[in-house]
Amino acid sequence: MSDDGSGEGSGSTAQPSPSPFARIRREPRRRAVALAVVVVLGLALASVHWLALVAAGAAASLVAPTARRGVAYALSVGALALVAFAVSLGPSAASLPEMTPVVYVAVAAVFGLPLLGSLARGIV
Amino acid sequence: MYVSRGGPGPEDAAARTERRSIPTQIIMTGRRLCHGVRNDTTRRAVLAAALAAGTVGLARSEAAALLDSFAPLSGDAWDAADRSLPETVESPHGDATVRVDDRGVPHVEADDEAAAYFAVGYLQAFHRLFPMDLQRRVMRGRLSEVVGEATVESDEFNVAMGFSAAAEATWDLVSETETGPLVEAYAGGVNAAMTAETLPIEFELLGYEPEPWTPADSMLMEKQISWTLTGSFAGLRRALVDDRLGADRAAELFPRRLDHDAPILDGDEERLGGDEEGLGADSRRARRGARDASLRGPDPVDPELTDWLSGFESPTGVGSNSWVVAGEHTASGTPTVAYDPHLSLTAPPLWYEQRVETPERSVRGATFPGVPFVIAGASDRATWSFTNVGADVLDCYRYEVDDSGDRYRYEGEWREFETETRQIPVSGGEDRTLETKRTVHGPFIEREGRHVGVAWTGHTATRTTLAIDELGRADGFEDALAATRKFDLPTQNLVYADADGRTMYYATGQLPIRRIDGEAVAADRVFDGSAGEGEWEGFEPFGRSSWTGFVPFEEKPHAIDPDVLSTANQRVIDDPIHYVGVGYAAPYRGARIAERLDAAVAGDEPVDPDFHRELQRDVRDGRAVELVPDLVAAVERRTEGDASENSDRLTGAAATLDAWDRRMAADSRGALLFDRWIDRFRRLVFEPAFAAVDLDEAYYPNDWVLATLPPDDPLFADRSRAATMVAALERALDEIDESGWETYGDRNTTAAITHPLGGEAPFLNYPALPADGSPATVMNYRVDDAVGSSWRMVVRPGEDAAAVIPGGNSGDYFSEHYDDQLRAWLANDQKPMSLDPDGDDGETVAFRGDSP
Repeated sequence: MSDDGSGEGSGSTAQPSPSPFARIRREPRRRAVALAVVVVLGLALASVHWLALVAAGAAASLVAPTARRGVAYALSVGALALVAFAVSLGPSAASLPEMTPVVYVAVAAVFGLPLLGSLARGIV
Repeated sequence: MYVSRGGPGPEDAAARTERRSIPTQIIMTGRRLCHGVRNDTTRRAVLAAALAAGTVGLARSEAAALLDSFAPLSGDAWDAADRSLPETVESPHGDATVRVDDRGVPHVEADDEAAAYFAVGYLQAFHRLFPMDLQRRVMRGRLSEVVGEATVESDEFNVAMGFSAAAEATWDLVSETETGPLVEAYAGGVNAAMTAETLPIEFELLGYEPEPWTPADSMLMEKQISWTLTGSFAGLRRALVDDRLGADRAAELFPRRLDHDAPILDGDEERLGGDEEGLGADSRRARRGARDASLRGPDPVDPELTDWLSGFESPTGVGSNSWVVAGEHTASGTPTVAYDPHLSLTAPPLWYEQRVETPERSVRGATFPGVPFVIAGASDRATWSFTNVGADVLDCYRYEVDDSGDRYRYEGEWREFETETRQIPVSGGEDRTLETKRTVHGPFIEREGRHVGVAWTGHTATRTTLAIDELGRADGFEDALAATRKFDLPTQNLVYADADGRTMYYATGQLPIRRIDGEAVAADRVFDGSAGEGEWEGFEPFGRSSWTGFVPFEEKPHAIDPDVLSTANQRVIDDPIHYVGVGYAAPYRGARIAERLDAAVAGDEPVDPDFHRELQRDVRDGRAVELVPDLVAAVERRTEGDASENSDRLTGAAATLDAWDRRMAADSRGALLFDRWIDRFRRLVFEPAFAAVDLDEAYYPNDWVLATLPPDDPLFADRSRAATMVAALERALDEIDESGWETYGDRNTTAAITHPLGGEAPFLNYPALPADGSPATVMNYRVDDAVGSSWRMVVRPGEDAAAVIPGGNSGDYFSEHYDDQLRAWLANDQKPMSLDPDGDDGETVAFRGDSP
């Protein structure tokens, strides 16, 4: 997976065209704004369908300066989704740890789906 | 794929490039470009393919269903975590107000009865929709449709038995009465909640949505509980035991009358009327359950079929306690009724507490979800309760069937079976097709070439729904008595008291009279259906019965204004006017309750509700009282002069048992020793003889018989009673050591109380807490069968009422009322069944609409 910060290969000449995310990846302020938008939109859509967690993981990783950080961004989106999930349950969230095995599905999904999406960082 | 681990960035690469000569750079760059473009394209393609395949694969795999249900934020199951009652509900029956109190009990108030019962339906569905639908599916034979192959046999049995047809016939009758519109309003409320509210989590776990509720479904709930209480194939088992052990030996081990003097009725109580005139000698013999030796029934039904059918009976130990003490003995001067029915303990509980206030009724108490009306509870003037009689209201018949299997012989001619082809849908499996058959007597059950005919009093239109509706509206003793006449099913010990000081005991339910050659006979046998033996006059299977040949109401066991009376499923009366049955419980609970009540009323202190609650907590085990002294003596004889390690172990255990107070308390070591010992003793006594004739432990005699077996009984021919007792103690100690139990509560826990889906979703089960009580104690708890006190109440009619439920009133796992009464139930710490809901934090629902 590319880790050159611009979305290009280890040699800059290996990239036939610059990444459309290059500027966002380079500039921390733009990156932060983009990430915030991704998180908000991602969580909003994740309340509609779980595929949004894949998309949110993908989008978060795409604005990351490196692929490794892309993975970290995706997992962070998952963590935020978990927090949002617990908050959405209200007092019932206290029951979650006891709800085996279905809680395993929830935890696996909240981290696994964004992680799957982070593969996008190696594509664009 | 390029993997860079903290390598140079773009700027470093550019600097390196500048240091090289231009031709070299051009050549190298050209090569790298070609190579890089090729590799990078491959990398991107691989990653894109992995992402696409992963996403599409998930969406199309079985995992998608799991994610649809349980993915965070979007999973449908989590909607169930945030269920709350709406502030207003539109009602087609007019206004009603519901206040849910701080224990999750709905208090429904309305000016119109239909408006009230629409609200009751809504609340029951909100709190208990899954158990309602589950029971409906069980009885209709539609469980496999959502559960799969595991329940196909259950569905086949229930379809063959035709419970749903019986419910339809019952609704056909009820719909013509003034109760009908209330049942319809109730069903409307259930369906309104089903449509408007988020479904409980169980529906998401099983992945289905319930179908609309119908009034016939409520009738089906009546059939379900009645089957639980009276659906017994004991006659088949008795015939098998007679065949295997010999009639004489079977009579010794399975006496039709247990040798005790603690029946419910003494026989000198005040009665409405009815006498023995006109009954012949055979009738008098039959009524006691005795059998005419000259009347030999047909051969026993095949043991495999008997075992299969027995698997659909109620669990062992279903029974109950109730008692009434007249006002002259109570502190307040009004009668008091105490009640605790022993049924299956489940999460959520079988019972649902509710209160309904209308101009026509003020009633609070317990009902089964799916049933609109309070079954056991209190009105503003009275209280009533039901325990199981143990009456024999199910008969089995053998028939001569022709080679084609299409016809059966009946009274000298061949008759076609009434047949119907039914489908049993099976989730994830092949759907089944079942051809059901009926004879003139009722369902004809076939399995692997074996068959038996069944007649059950529930297989016809019954008026029980009318009876419990009218009990809730009864304005005094005469109204209650009139309602009791309509209580066709099941056979129950009704214990009643009211604010006027009246008390009553009545055996409810229709009791068949069987005749052979004109003489009444006992019915714990298999009848020759082809010869028309023992059939019930006035009984119309799946239609409306006239009940003309059944025991007249006035001739059923009853007592008017009894002073002190208790029921614990023991024999109703030594000398009934008509045969009632032989399936009575051992008298341990009944004798203990009667003993303590007699002592209380004979004492100087008036009897108050706290006494009744304390008696409900009584855990003295009558089996231990009888057996432990003999066990201790046997150990002393066995270990005399023996200094071995085993001897020390036995002596220590015997000393613990000798000092033990015979109370089955959770913190007792003696109770643990006795509990494990009697289990081993039972097996050691019966297993050799019964295994020799291929009868398993389901056929063992009860513990009363076990405890009273004399030392010279043939069962002790190879090993003396004393030696068997000691051997059982050795095995019990081995088991206790291996398990690591210290006290009774280590084994006797509420872990037995599980949810129907608790195997797959264990979080739905109740927590494991130590429990008091045994199968033989007043405070009844059968950990091996998950049966026990499913509701406890103490009521002084017109004054106060208190109750507790084993778990919580809500079936919603996420509700605070899912298990908020479990600990209080263990301690019998009853809460008031208040007429004024406590607290300000309860939910309130306003049902609004115009009356039709």
